[in-house]
Amino acid sequence: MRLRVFEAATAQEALEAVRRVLGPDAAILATTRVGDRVRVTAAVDLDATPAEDILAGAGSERVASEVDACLAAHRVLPDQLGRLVEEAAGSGLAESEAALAHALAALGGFARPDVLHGGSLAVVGPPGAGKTTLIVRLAAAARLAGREVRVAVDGDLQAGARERLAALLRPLGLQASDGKDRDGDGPLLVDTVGTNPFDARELAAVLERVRGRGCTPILVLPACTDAAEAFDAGCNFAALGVRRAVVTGLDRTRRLGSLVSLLAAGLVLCGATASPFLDRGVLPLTPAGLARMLLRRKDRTRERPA
Amino acid sequence: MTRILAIASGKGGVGKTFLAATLGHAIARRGRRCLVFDADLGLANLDVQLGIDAPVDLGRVLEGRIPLERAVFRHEETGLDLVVGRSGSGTLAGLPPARLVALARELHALAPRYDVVLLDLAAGVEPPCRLFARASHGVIVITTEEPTALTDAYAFVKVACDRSRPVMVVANAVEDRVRGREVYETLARACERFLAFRLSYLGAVRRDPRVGEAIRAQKPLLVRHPTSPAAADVEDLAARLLAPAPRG
Repeated sequence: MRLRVFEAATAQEALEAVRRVLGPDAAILATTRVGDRVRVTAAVDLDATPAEDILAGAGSERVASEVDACLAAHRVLPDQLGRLVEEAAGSGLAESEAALAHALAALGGFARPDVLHGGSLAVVGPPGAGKTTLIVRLAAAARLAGREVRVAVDGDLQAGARERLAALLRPLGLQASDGKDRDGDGPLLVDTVGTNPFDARELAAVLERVRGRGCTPILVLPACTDAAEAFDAGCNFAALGVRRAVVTGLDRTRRLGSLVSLLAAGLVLCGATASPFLDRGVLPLTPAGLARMLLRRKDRTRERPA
Repeated sequence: MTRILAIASGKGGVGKTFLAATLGHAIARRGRRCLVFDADLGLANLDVQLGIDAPVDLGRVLEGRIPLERAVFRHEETGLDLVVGRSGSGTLAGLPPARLVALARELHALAPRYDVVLLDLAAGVEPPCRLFARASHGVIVITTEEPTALTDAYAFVKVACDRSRPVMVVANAVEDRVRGREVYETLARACERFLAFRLSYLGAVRRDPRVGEAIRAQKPLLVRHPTSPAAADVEDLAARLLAPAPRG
């Protein structure tokens, strides 16, 4: 704003001076009498952009505060939150979504769900994580694509779990073997008994067995896992050489801090499940998609049960 | 509910720190819990103005050595809780946005212990000022009648304020209350005309040599000259600020 004070013998003379100096767009801000003269305060602002518009295009502090608020709402752990805000603010990107995507990509790895198809794998993780249904989803996807696949079980599944797996596989024309791997074509998908992520001996034993069958272990963890628990569990699996993870139940989770925890633990996110329908397969997770989801679900984290 | 209010001016030397300390003191005298936070991270001088040797300052918080709540100390003479900065620390003014955001978050966590939190912002419109303005529930813009002060107050409103939080104006060092309202109207017209932004008027503090005298003596105005016109004006500002919002 260019602000000038004009004094003249009459108001008309002062106003003429305003127009002459500041032009026809000048605004008269104040008119006062000083002795026998008139004082006019006037101004122009040729770049009079409203504050919101400037702030909308402003730099890193706006990105930092938006990303910070979003990640805090998702209960992302303080260390990871700090790293992500720092990375997002320093990205030079003006849009929070793009800046957060950039920061997530810098934090950890992402891979398309394609990496789950084609090779032999075993799902590992705590009880109730969705391991069995992930096996069925992968088997269904293979069958729908016309590929052969074999399914097997490691360890003693809980009472009823074996029957459930058998029932889920039946429409696909598949059976799960539990002893020696069934002869046949196609990669082997192994369902394992739920393991305690904090029992290193138990974890090591399961991983040794599935690797002995030529399977790559995939950590399966529910998206609704507390962020700190997810980080600790992720670190324990990563320490034993597990590299990939799939999160389950995105459709019934509002706070997504666990996904950030798995990235920070060094695991590559290979996809997520977000539907109770098993033929929906595994959805891809990308830095941009996760950033979008974190920002768009931010407000839902404040909702309370009716 | 706690209110976090940022005190800003754009231009330096128009009375931000004086207003933060004295208004905070007036609020505390009314039995409300008040924290004054020196958010001028580079050239902090709240402690200098009040003549105190701060046992701890914000520098240690920003170095990550103590949490913000441990940088709070009680100033018995005014009944205020204070967080003071570290004057002359250029590195504090150049903090990365993420660190500033973390500081603002710590401040929000601390705020529910108080009825009012006053942030004494730095001069200018640099990122720390804008961020603290955005972290507050309202902004008090203080200006004098000088064209330079009005221009810089306008610049602050333009780049740091948005319609989601109220912006109140205090006219400082004016001849009388009529002149105070004229100063407010001059600024308000510019903001309304050029930015379509409405300001509200909190009040005026009259020009009073006892303000400068109290600052030079490093004593709170309300202790040194409690019956001075400027003291009465700040007491009025506190009363208006604490008055319940009109219903409807």
